[in-house]
Amino acid sequence: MMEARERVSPAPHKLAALEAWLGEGTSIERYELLSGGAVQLNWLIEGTRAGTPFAYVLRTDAASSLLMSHSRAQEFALLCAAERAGVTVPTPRALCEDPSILGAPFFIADRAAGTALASRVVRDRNLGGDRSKLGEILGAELARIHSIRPPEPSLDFLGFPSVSPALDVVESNRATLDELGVARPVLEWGLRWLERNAPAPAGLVLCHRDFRTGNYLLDERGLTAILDWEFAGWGDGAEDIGWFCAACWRFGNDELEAGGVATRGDFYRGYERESGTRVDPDAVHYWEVAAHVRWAAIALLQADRHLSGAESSLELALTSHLVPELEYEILALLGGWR
Amino acid sequence: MRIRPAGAELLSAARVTLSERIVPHLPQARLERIASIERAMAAGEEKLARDLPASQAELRALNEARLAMRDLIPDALPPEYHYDARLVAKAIAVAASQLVRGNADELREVERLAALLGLPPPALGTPDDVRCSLAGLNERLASRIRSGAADAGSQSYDATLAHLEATTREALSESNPTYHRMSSGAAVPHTSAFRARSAKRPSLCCRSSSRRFAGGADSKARGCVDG
Repeated sequence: MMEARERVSPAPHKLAALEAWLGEGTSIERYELLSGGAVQLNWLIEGTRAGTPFAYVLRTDAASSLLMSHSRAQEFALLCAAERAGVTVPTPRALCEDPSILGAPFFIADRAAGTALASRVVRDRNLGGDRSKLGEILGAELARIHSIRPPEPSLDFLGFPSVSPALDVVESNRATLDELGVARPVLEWGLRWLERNAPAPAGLVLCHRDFRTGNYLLDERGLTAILDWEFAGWGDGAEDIGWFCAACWRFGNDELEAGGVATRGDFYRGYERESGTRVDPDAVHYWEVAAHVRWAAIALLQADRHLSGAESSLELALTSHLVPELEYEILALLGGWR
Repeated sequence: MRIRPAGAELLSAARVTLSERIVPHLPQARLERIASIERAMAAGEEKLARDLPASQAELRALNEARLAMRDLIPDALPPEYHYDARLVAKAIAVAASQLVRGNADELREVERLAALLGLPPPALGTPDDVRCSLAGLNERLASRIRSGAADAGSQSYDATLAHLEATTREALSESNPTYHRMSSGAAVPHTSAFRARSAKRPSLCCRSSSRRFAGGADSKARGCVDG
């Protein structure tokens, strides 16, 4: 969501420590804050090591943390697992858990080219190559993420659903609403429907849980990286398909129901070809309802961060005014306005 | 005020963004324009905070401020601050919509909720009373839905869905009146500003307020936040 960018002056003592950590003969020539969210900060660092140029993204924690998200060490493990499964990710290079270098743990990965900015991705046809092909590629990428299954020792920090992935989503979103103390009858309507229609637990796969337009990078030729792994966990693969196709992530480009960039047919075809399994439209419909409920709960949480004074931000404050749109979609998916 | 932060809180946050992230990056020649934008926002914030309707001139000034933040100011700003200007414009739009709509939607929602829940219409005094009743009634409806008492097949299913549709239409008209996916059948016309039902019965509300109420806003200014 953070689209505003700003330049922040590097702290000289931290730069020196980082250069030493990166290895002898390292010189950092550029250091720029790419994006700063409530949860993580992404820095671009460019320089040379023993005469060879490098460009890395360094990812570290913001001072405060918004949601239950993974630590940098865990995110690094997820990136490594995804890379092994053939997912297009920024190549993970190194993890530093020693807080004395930058003040917080961090990891570095190769900088991937391209833009993630959703408003550009859905409109600028010079990005991402042929859109039908892009839809297939994104479907295949998601299928490769879902090829990661438990047991996976490097991901043993990921918890398992207590009852079923679907009922866990119902429970956790109800808990969020209760903690916030906001009564939202439409969200309760959606949650009750999700509770009554929860699918039986199927085989668990690695779900990205934020696989959507805005969280992958495109350049002129095509996809260059799947980003933002901090919410990944074991779950029902249809959850990610529903999240990607949900109306709230099309950024105004409604004709292309798969993320505003491709048709469902393109996206499903890529997924089915790679995974060898059929996409079940009923399951996707279920998880699209869940997607709008979950995004609404997150939007209310973000507004609460502003209202509580934890992080004063006009962007967080305005996020809550997306909730009526999400409620509109929930009712529309569940038979409203007929 | 269905969604917090409400208009006054949004304008307050938007004024901080204006002074901290926009003004420092503007050329001298634009600062006079910013001062008038700031004045319009401050006036709107004050009216919203006190539950008073805005004058036609104040609504016009807010609309001009919104258009300037959307169309004019970005041209004078470095690209990395365009997003901030758009956020300020959006905050003004929501606040102006609340000023125009007042609490008529909330009064209707309270009446609908009481009927749906089979309760007598609550006695309402101040706009704070209305908000308080609304919160309490929505808690009841939320727990009724969660308990399954309004499930498909139950007697109250149709009435509950109709209430949720009406409420969502009104909330969208406040937060995003031009939501592109809203079907024309779901759109709701603008209504009038702050009012309270005359209530002789004692208020059931948790808070009391001695605020005064004012009559409707000027209808000519309505629709100023569209687009």
